[in-house]
Amino acid sequence: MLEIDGLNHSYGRHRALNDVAIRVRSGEAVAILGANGAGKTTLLNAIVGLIRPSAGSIRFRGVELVGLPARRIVGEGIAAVTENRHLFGSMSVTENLSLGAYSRRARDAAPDGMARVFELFPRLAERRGQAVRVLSGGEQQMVAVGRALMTRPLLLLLDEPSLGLAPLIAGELFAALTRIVDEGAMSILMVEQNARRALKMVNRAYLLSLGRIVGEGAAKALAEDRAVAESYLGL
Amino acid sequence: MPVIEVIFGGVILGGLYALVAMGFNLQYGVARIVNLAYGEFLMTAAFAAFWMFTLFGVNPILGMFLSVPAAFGANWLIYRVLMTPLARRARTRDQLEGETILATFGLLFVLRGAATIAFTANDRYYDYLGEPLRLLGFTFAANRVLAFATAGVIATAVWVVLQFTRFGVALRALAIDPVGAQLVGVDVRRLSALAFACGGALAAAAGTLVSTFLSFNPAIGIEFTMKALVVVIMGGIGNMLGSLAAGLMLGVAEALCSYYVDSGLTLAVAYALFLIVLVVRPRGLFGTA
Repeated sequence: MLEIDGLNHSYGRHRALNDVAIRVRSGEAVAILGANGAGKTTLLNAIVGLIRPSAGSIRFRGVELVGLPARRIVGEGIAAVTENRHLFGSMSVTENLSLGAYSRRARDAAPDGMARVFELFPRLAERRGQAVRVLSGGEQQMVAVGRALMTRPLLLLLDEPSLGLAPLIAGELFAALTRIVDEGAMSILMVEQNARRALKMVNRAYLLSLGRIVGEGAAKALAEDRAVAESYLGL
Repeated sequence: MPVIEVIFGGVILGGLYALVAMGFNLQYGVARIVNLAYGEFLMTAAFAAFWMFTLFGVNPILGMFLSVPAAFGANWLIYRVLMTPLARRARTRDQLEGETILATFGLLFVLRGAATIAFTANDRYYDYLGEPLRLLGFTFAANRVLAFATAGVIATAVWVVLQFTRFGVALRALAIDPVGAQLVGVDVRRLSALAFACGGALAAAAGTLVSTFLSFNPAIGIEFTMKALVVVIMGGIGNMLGSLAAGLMLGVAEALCSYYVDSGLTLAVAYALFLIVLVVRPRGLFGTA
């Protein structure tokens, strides 16, 4: 479904991505594990069209995404929850979610989508009329995930979804994401520092180090691998 | 003259400032262009109304159905031709702001110079509905009341569009977070151009209304631009209700000043009010953290 090949990106002389190749199949949940500065955010920004990679190809369901503007990539069925969430702070929860259904592919399904988001995140239903900026960090992250779901994505990209969240609310968030994964209706590609939690949720993971893919495997196997555990699980 | 009448007069003027500021706010808040030539479109529309009225006897309110769409088109074109290259190469919105200040400063002189050559620098006015109107026991010039009512209708329409339509909500989203807007599929270029064009259209509407009760010449633009800037910053960039409140405040303050102190000091009052708001509430009257 998503096929990334030979992806390179440099910021000046710093090579953030070096010949990266990644596959995500339909209905699959994949994690990218790596330390800070490994190039994870650059990779997600390239997929979603916020940066244009120096070289390489990103194909989604046969369509080349490199060179397409971000709004077209949303229309192809890829939604992203970026690291700083880019929510519309002075607007209400409902308005933020409705904006998720702005693109043509999502418009008609907006009412169903909204009900679904409130079912996944009951906290948001209680706060639907409040301005997003007064919500807690965890609630804002739920709005960001909800807004992404409203675009009716076939592939959901998540950049460090649990970063900086209280453990309880991070748990709620992951429970909702796990439900989405189990339904199998959309694929997920997530970058996560909390590798232990991520490996419980996904099917497969890639190890990214200094812009290179240095390993790949089934989540179960990686979770039990000693070398992986030392480098990525902080044991 | 009782103080109530002075305040009503200020509200009428303030309603117009609010309309002027809303247009400026669409251009600045959404398209991130500080359009120093904004007032020139207001001035041009005033002249258009003047010529249509004196040459062909066209009712200025009806004339707006011609001048407002024309201004929309002209501003859309200006955005596509002059501003798009700047928006394309700007790395940050701050850089874009800086560059557009320079570009529109140039545009200001071009438009003003052209208007001076075409229309001469003389003050113009025409007599439209100059008769007094009794309202709630007070007396007002009918043209001022009509201008205020029209400004109110237009401002309300703009607010309704921004608050309740898909297009309007997308414009507000773009003003708040352009990256977030792209992530939900908003076409930033297209909507910026439309917002800029709508802003220009509001300038033309305001210019027409101004021409019905004030005299004007090719040099009036800059004063309206400055007042719009003051009102927009007071009310909050991108915040239309803020513009409305700040515009009314400015109008009333000016009216009180010109009646009780000196009419030559109104601009000073505008800036004093501006400074006070900036000191007390640096992010505008309704700004947040």
